[in-house]
Amino acid sequence: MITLGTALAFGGAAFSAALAGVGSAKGLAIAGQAGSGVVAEDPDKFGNVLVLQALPGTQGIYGLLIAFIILLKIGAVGGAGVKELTTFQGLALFFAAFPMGIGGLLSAIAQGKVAAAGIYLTAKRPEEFGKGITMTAMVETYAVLALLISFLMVYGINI
Amino acid sequence: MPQSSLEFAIGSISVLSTHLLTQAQLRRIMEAPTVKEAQAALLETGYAEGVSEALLQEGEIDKIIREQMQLSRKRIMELTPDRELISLFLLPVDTHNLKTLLKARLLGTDAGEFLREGGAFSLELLKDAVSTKYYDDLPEVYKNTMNKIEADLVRGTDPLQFSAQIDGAMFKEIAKVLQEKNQQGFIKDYFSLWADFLNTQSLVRARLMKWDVDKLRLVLVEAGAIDLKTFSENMETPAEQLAAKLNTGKNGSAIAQAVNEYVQTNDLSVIVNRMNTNLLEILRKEKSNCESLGPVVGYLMARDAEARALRVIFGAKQGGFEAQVPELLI
Repeated sequence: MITLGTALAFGGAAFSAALAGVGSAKGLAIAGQAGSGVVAEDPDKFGNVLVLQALPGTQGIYGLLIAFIILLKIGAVGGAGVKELTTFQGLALFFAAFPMGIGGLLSAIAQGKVAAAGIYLTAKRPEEFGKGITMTAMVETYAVLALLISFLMVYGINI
Repeated sequence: MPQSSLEFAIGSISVLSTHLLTQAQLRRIMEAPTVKEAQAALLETGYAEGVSEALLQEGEIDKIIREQMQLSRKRIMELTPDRELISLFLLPVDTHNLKTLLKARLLGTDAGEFLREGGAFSLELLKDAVSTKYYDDLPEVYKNTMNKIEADLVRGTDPLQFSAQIDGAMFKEIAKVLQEKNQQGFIKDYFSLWADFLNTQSLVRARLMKWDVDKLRLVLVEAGAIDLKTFSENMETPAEQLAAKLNTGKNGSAIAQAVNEYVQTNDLSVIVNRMNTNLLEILRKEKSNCESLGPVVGYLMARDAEARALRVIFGAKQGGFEAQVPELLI
């Protein structure tokens, strides 16, 4: 039987995957449009542009990872059967998904903007490509921190 | 295929701006011993990219510059996510063309070589409108102004007023578009500062030439941050108090500074120089803002500055006189 706690845990998994995924999609779209503009004028820059455009995509993967760990924890994956969680256990898993969901959403959009700026920088000064990547990767730090805290929280909940 | 997104536009502009002429390239063109070698040096930079082969064969530098400007403006209009706002920066070209066509018609001469390409309206449309006196295809503000001018012409009004009326129409159109778009950013700041400076120059000229207030009112333009009444009410204000009287609104301090400098030097060009510096400053600040049209406008202005610099260089070379390499300020 699916209890309220189990439903909340599912909600947490969905929240993490969906919000971080939306953030990544938005970030990739921002960087992708900037990249298309550059490639339209100078197709040779496609390689550099692609690397920068791909960076905001990682948050979506982190969100999916946390969702997968939650589903694994409640037995929804692996064939053992879904566990019946108490409401507090479910709420705890739901809140554990928050850092990754919200952190992923916002950091991916912000990273998309920095990636776009990096793409403009690369278009003007191809030799500064490395700096464009470094600056874009700095935003990733906070997505990684969100992933870490969500991961620790999910693992800290005893079921 | 061009897309209407700011990110796409700025991405394209980032690449296009790497093809702008540098100060060093201008210097090299200037240092070429003959016009022909200067042309060769210019073409070596890739400046004539996209220009038709026939025009290159002809080798007329002014035509090449015109063609380049037309191509860049067309490209910018394809790229920009907001054509109406970018068009505002092209209106001075249309205003110039309208004045030139009207004057040529009145004098019975050909406007041909004085016309400029790359305005917001097609040159053919303007030519047809002025020759047939049918202005219904122009925006409402221009249509009304031109119809009024035609009516004044029949009554035999002083033709010198037309210039001010067409300038006034341009700023009315700018104010209308900015209001419709609820534009609060740098574009509004740019045009409002420009209008305030023009009105200040008109006020100073009107005081020097002892015009009456009604004549001053005819040349004041809209879109500024300083109320037009402030200008018309200060025709008789002592010069040393003028700066303080005009120091209202967000542009007040810049205007006051320019007026103070004018009062100290008695040289009207200080107001013009101060205006150009302040307008450039607004564009410079916005040029790297990836979340505004700043880079697009910056590129448009940089292309204009480049064309002006080339005209100065080739004009000097063809005329056989010395000239300094113009600075590319943007």
